Amino acid sequence: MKNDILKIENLKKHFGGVLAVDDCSFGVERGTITALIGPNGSGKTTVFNLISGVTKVDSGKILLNDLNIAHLQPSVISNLGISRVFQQSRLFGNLTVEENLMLAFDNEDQKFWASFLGDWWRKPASAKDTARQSKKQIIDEYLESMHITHMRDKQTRDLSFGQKRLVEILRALINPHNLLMLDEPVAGVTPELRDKIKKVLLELKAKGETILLIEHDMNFTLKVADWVIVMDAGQVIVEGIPDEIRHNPKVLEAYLD
Amino acid sequence: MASAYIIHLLILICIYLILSLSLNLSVGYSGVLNLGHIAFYGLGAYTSALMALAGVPFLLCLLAGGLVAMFSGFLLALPTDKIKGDYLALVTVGFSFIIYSLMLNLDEVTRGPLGLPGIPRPSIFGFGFEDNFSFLILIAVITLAVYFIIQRIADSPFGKLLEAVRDDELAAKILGKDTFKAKAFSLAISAFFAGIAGALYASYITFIDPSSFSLMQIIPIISIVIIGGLASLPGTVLATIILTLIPEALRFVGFPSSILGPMRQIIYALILLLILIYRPRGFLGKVELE
Repeated sequence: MKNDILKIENLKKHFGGVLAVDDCSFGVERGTITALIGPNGSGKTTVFNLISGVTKVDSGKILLNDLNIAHLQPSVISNLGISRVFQQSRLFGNLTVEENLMLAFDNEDQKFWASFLGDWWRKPASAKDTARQSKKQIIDEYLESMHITHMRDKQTRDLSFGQKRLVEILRALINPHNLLMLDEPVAGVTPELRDKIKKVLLELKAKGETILLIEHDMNFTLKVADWVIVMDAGQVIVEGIPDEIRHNPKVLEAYLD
Repeated sequence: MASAYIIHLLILICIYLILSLSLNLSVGYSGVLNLGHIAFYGLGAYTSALMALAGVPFLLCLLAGGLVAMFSGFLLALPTDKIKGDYLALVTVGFSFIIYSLMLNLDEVTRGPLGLPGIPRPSIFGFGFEDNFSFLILIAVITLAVYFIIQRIADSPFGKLLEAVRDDELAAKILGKDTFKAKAFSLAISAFFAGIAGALYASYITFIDPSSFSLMQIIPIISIVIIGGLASLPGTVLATIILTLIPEALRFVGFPSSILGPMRQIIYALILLLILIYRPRGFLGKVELE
């Protein structure tokens, strides 16, 4: 019995007449990097959207730590421990890098009065300020590890594609989670950045993170993933370790079609 | 005489400032294209006027005007979870129409098109604000307070949350944020201040009728917010002053009063067009909507 953090059971989703996800089932083992691959239109991103609650599930179960999250709101699912990066940039474009990352730590910013009154009635060295300082410190450390400290006060809409990608990955990392979902983290980035992201992912795994990723770049995927799930036409056709997947005739057929 | 005119202008600027600063909170910061702001203004004016006419002290009228507007702002926030963007703007327009027709048709309460005359000037703890100069001081103090409160909200983590919701609501949800609550709060606060502006207007002019609160009246205010720059409070202040004073300048170049009104609209439209073409972020705005 695998130690699965996430279990998908008989998941189905229609869009009009199109069956985007058809009786899809798989599991994501704790502490591993699992890759979801498959040709365009095979339903990978739809599965991501269903897991994170962005798209409503038709039928089936999504179990996060044995809790069915299939019909919950995206914000609730996020607070239960799923953090996600989208295929396209979804940064808050008019906010700075630091502000984008600051929003990810917790939901304290939702408390209007605490946020409004702030340090008016507290001493400067209050617990809240310390918390804020340590958040800033964590952000600085992350930015430094990615060598983008100089970007901290830039509005994110002015960043390059690759820089946006890094900030999005950082934001998802800072957002408290048990499972990190990345939709094509290295699509369209330079080879250097791809290596950087690969290194980051492997470091995260070493720290015990569980990662589920969608990726078209087979070389990248087969190098970082511990387990590969291949989807075609909304179904899981094969799953296994990268070496098996590489030579599997079904996979080759699906990609060559 | 000249100074009386200037005092009157400054009071008008203050009323417009409260309206446009608060509108910037909902439109500029949280990205809710709220065209119902004028309805909150009207609700505040009517609530406080009716209470003042019944002999309730000014401060209570002012507060009640704000609270009634705030409550309706919260009601207007209810559909924001399902309806977005342009469609939501239409809902807020509908809301404005409903409030306007209530003012016009609830004769027994509002006296319909006849309006409410004889609204008392403010009086706080026995100190009356009968003359315009003392009224100016009162409203200037309130306007400053509104500015600092909205500034404080904007700079707080909650304000950043509002901006996040404006930039990408789904991304905010994916970070675990209750975006509906954030928008509802900002609309309610924004409506509260519009209600305050309405209460001040009623007690200044001492007469209100529905025509001051028709949907058309949103045009100068939304223009101010866009021209000044979304999510820029200093920009809003600058735009308020410029847009209030330019039409006034027309009086001195000898335009007959019959075309002053239409000229005002034309000038707003012109400035708005020029700004959108040459400075899409407004005078001092940093925000660009996609």
